[in-house]
Parts: sequence; structure tokens; C-alpha cells
Amino acid sequence: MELKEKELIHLAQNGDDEAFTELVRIHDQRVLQFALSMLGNMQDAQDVYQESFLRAYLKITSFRFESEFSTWLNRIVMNMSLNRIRQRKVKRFFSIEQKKEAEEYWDIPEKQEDQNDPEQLLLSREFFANVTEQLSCLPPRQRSVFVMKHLHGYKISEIAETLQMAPGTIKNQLFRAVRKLRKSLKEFC
Amino acid sequence: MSVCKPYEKRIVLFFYDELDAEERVGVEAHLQTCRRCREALRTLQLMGEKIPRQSVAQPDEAILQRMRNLLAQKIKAQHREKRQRKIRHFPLFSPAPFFQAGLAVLLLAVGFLLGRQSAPVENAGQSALNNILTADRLVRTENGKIDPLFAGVECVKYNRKTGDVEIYYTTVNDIQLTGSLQDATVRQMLIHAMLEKENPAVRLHAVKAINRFTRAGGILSSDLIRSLTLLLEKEKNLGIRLQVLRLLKNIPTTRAIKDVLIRILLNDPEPAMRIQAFENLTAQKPAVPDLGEILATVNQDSSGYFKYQLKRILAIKKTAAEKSKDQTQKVKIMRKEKP
Repeated sequence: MELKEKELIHLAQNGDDEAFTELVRIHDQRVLQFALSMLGNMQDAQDVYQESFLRAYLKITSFRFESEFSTWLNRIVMNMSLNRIRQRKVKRFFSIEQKKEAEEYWDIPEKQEDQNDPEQLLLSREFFANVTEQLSCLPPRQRSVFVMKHLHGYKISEIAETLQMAPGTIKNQLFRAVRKLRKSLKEFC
Repeated sequence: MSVCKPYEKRIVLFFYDELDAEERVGVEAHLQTCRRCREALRTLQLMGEKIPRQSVAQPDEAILQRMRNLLAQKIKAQHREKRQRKIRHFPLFSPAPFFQAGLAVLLLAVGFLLGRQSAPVENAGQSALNNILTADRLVRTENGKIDPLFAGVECVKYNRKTGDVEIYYTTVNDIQLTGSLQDATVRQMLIHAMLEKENPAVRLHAVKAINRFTRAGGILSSDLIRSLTLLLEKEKNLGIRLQVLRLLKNIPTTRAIKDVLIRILLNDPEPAMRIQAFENLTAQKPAVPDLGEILATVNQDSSGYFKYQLKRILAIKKTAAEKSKDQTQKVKIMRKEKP
């Protein structure tokens, strides 16, 4: 943990709102992206962003520097996202109506690459539509492990710490998620 | 193509670089020899290429700024709430337990006093009713309008134990009226409930209360019978109309009832109503004189279900008649055998 971040946390724990705002500024892009990749739509992601930071603000005194601040924050975001999925029964990562909107949230290679090849563009679009569809079918835990590992590149040990699960369980969840996705995306890969 | 079972999971972890050195060497050696596992790994690598890390788009700075502002507002609101909580917990504002108990008693007393003025008090209501409802002043006025004081019948119940009808209605306060169907006031209120209330549940319960009264051996007065036939004509709810027909089955058929039943039998669009009317007519003792003629007309009814039900009812009646005939003959034989 950087010295500056540590100081900011101490200040925030002592009621310094400016310090907390600075912490938000450091982490909020990642938090929103994280929530977006879990929930798949910007509206829910923004709600989770607000709820998570507000919770972090209220509970910051309980942070004991036993883990990274980002891990602690990730745990809050992940729990909030899972709660939201359960509460709103957002079983589908993206609804069909949202699919088009959802495409905007993927940093699709087509945006940078061969924009002149319409066939490639169409295939790429179809592929990402399929990915979103398949992600929506994963159980929330498997989805969260896959999102953290594949899309955000966290280590198994970090995921285990964030989700407060055993590394072996995380490995199993990851394996199951990959197996399902590989099977359903077979024609594209 | 399936992957070798012992390596299935390890290949995924190998792809994500999550194996320790020893396991890694083992998987690499296996991949040298197994084509299927190599292909499985290749599929994973392709998936990794197609869905690269951080492929979820980064949110715009404008969105983030808006989110930060919103969060800052929420944090301010939290502060205000905290301050208010502190004020509430200030010793002066946190009363001691005995003071709290005293306050609770005081509030209860005030509530009781207020409640006495506005809550339903049966006796007061009853006496008020007695002043309003006398034999010469009934609910329905001469011009056929309902006295606005009785516009609020909320619920009707029949008390099986006492045989009384309980009518809950509102004037200014909720008042409960309890009495027998011999009581003109109760009858008036029931008629009002049946004919004027918009709530079908109230109408149905009024009919049910009368039905239970008749089944318990009560005799209906002419004003109630008149109202029931009127209800049968104007009611639109099928359940209530059926209930009225079932009720009418329990009472002797007058000319007016018979006319209504025949009208239903011949013209009602609902087969259930026609069937019930038919049951009512055939249940009459003595039988309706022109029943044969009616049956001939009914036989042309377009509803197959209706015809089937008619046959069923007639068959039941025939069996019952034969049974009673057999029993009469048996009694006669027994009498003959006895010297």
C-alpha cells in the first residue's frame, strides 16, 4: 500500500471528508468498471458505485490494514453487486433489449481495428453479444470469479481474499465457468 | 473432443498461470504427448484473444465526475443525519425511563379520550339508529332514494349461534347493527346492502346471510322476497345471481318468483343460471303447472351442456321418485302382511 494511500485512509478514518474524496478519486474508475462487468448495465453499475462508496465511507473505521484497501473495497463492490443480482433477480447479465446498449460497454477490438471490413465487424458484434448472453447464464459466484480472473486479471489468492472463499473453491468455480463458456463459445473460438 | 480427465482442470489453471512450478512441468510434459489437451489449451488461448483482459470499456470521465458529485451529496446527507442523531441522543432529549413511562401513559390516556369521541360505540350507535330508524322512517325514502346516512354498509354477517344478522355500516363513525330479520331496520339495511352497494362482496354476503337464515328455518318477509327478485333482474355478477337462485329454492315459490325463474330459463345467456332456474322450477311442490310446455321450449336450447344437465336433473328426480314409490309399495306390502 502506498504511503499516500495509507495516510489518506488514516485521515478518512478520523473524519476527513477531503481524504475520503481523494480515495474515491483513486479507486472509482476501477470500481465502476468492476461493477459494470458484474452487472452488465450502466444504471445498476452506477447504483452499486454509490452504495459501495457510501458503505465504505460509513465503515472505513473498521478497515484494519490487514489487506489492501483495494481488496477491501472490491469485497464491498462484489457483495453489493451480488446483492443486487439477488434482489432484483437480474439473472440475465444483459437482457435482449439491453444487448445493443451493452455492446457499448465492451472495449470491442472492432473499435480500433479493421473498421472497413463489414463481415469482420458483424462477426465481432455477434461474438460479444454471445459472450454477454453466456455470461448472463453463469451463476453469480462463477460469474464473479470469471470476471475477476479473466477480465480483471486478479490472482486466485486475491479473488479468494476478496470473496472470502478458499482458493480451491475459487479454482473449481473458475474451471466450471470456463468449461461452460468454452462449450457455448465453441463455434467462435 | 474431450480432454484427459486428470488434466481437464489443470489445463485451465495452466492457461491462467495459476499452477505451481511442479504442476506446470507435469502439464507441459503431458501437452507434448496429448493432442486433445493441446487443442483444449488452444481453444482457451483463442478465447483469451477474443475476450482480452480489461475488455470491459472504461467509463467516461464525465460519468465519473457526475458520480463523484452525487456521492459527495450523499455523504453530506449522512453528516446531517449523524448530527440529528447526536441531538436526539443529547441527555436533555433522551428522557429517563420513568419519564418515558409517564409519557406513554399520558399518550394512552389522550388516545383513549380521543378514541371515545370517534371510535365505534355500539350503544351510542344503536341509540342514534333508534332515533333515525323508526317504523315511519325507513332507509328507502318515498322518492326511492336511499337515505345518505345509510350509504355506507361495509360488511354483512350472519351469526349462526344467535340467528341474527350483523350489518357493519358507516355514517360518520363505524357503527354495528345487530338484529334478527324480523326487525324492519335490519331488513332495510340488508335490502340496501343487496341493491345499492357497489362492492359485490357486500352484496354477496347480504344474500348469503338471508340464505343461511332460510336454511335455518327462517321465513322471509315479502319485502325481502321482492328485493331478491329485483336483485335477480338487475344484478350483473353471476356468482351473486346464482346465490339468489339457490336461496329462492329454499322458499315457497310465489307467482312473481316463478315468472322470474321462467324468464331466466328461457332467456338468460348463462347456462349455469338456466340450469339453476330449471332445478328451482322442478323442485317445486306442487310442480309448476305449465312445466311440460316449458320443457318443450327448453329442449330447443342451443347449449349442449345445458341439455346434458337437464337430463341429469330429470334422471335424479326420476330415480328419487321411483325410490319413494318403491318405499310406499314396501310399506303397503308390510301393512298387508300384518294382520
